[in-house]
Amino acid sequence: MENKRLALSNAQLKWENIFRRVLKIMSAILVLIVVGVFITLIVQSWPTIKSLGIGYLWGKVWDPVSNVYGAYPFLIGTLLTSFIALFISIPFSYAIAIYLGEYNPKGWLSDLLKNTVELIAAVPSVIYGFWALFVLVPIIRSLELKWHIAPYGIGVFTSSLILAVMIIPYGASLGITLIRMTPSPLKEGAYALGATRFEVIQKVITPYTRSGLFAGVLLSLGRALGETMAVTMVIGNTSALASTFKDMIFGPGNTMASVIANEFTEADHTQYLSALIELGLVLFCVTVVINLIGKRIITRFTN
Amino acid sequence: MDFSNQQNQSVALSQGIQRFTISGKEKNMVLAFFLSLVFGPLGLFYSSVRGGIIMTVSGAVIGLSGKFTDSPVLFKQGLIFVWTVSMIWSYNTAKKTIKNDDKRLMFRNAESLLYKALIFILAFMITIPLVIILIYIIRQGVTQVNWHFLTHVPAPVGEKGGGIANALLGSFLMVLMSAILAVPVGIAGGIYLSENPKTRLAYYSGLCVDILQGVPSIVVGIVIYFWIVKPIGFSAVSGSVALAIMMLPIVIRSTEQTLKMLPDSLKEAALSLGVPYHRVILKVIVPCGFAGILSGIMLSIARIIGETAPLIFTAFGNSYLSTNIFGPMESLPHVIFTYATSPYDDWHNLAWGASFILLVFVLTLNIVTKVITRKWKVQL
Repeated sequence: MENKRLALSNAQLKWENIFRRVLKIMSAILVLIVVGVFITLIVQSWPTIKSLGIGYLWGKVWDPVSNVYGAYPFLIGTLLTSFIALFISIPFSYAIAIYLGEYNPKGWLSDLLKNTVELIAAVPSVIYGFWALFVLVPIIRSLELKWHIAPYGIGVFTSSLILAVMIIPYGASLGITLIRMTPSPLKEGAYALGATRFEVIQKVITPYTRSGLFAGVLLSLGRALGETMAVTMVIGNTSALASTFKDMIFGPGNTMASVIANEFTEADHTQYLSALIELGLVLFCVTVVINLIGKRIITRFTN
Repeated sequence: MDFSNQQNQSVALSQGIQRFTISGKEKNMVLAFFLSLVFGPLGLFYSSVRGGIIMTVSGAVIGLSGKFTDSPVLFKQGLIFVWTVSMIWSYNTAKKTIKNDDKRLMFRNAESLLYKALIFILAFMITIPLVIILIYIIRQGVTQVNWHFLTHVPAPVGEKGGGIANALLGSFLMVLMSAILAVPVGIAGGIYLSENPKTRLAYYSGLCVDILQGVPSIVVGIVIYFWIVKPIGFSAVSGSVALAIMMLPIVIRSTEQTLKMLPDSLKEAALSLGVPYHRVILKVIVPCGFAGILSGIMLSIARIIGETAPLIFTAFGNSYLSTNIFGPMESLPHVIFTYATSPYDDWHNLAWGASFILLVFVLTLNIVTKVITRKWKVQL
């Protein structure tokens, strides 16, 4: 009887240890994946890193046929689309955050807005791209005709518009939580001194949540930088650098992610492939840094 | 002593907030505003000489640079910017000179109301693109969808009919496989993170969750290409692994958050009854947080079902019905991408139908998740 119980508890102990080990291994897998991703990217892009060095990033010509690789046009394309999208999206996500965080946190109207924001985030990017290609592009084309710009329709500006819609939810949903975290004694103090609601928002809530809102902007920038499908479908995909500023914004271009999506399966020799993978490496590093800074700011803010 | 009629009132709410001082000769706000509306930076001279000088100089600089670089767009935008800034500037400086308290209060209240209206309008503008997109996709897609569409493979160009059976089956199989891969790992990782939040491994794997959440999906596609596609070729398995990697961070985070919110007494009570640790976790803790974990899984599925980028060079696409998971396989987002960018109208219609189906899936998953979280009062 005694022996049996002892044996049972021994077996249980064994299971317990196995269970703990499994948990540990499973979370170690995650670390392995991330390290593996990083190592794979470096190893596969090594030929380009070795032969072109840092000059790869400033090379202005991307011509796989004659084996010349420069990432500058794509860097510019990525930065332009992301930052234009960011500038368009900031007022809207700020307004949503203020409205849901301060003006109207409860009730059917705010539920409606909250659900809308969630649905905007849920729609797959390929559907945004498809819709933009068939609805937004003609609209932009007629606008460009009116503004006396070459009427491409597709291009950096169009992809920025659709990107802006896609990244609004990221900044907004973070902003809502942060704005709700403003301590009410601060707000009440301001009201007691006779501040209007606008003044409270402008002079108490916004300064208090500034770092958190900045983190939200960073996170949506990270999203915008890495977004592939919608941009690929409407940006026009030319690797040539536009000569004038106007062409750069309204003409077709290419981002790092869209180049990879378009040319990866066509890459027929090692140099070409590794040049593309180095783009992926740059994208990976930039988004990782941006995300980690953003998350660090948020954790510091919430604690 | 009458405080309200003091010449200099200063209001400091807390540190870091600028002082608000009423001084100088009183100016008419409406006049100031209209002067700068009509004359721009020159009108600003009425309320603030310093502001007038600054804005006129910057306006001149922008105007001259626009002239020399021959770029009318920049010139126009620059002028609009200068005009707007000087309008706001003149309004604000004029406001600070008003000595009558009631009048100032009226303006402040009006400002507050105006701001509220602005915020309201800006916030609800977001519903416009969503409604337009939804209506457009539904209108284009719903006419395409019928039984034939759901049970046939795409027809060649020029032939009528054809459907997306291959993509439906492919998407289903791949999402199923990636869920089988990611859910156990994700739940186990989440349990580890919530049970041992202080260990070094937990710190690094938490960091890796943050990193994975932000990694662009196309990068995951590249890496899986080298891990799996190079050895065994374009295959549904590789697509599933890529999707599973996209799914992991969401499952882990939701599991961790849910389990962290369960009271410790639950675990302590079970442990004090002599129940071994693994049974406490599997039979007490996980069932208690089941709703939260489930909604996390469903959210992650809703996210990966629309992912296209990692599938382009892993699952690759296949225009025939295929259940061979070691061969190329079609998926809904990929079929939309290839057919949307093709030049044929028939294929566009196919893509609209596929978009409609995909949208219905994604929205249904989101709504069901919402119902679950509301019913069990889960916070995510």
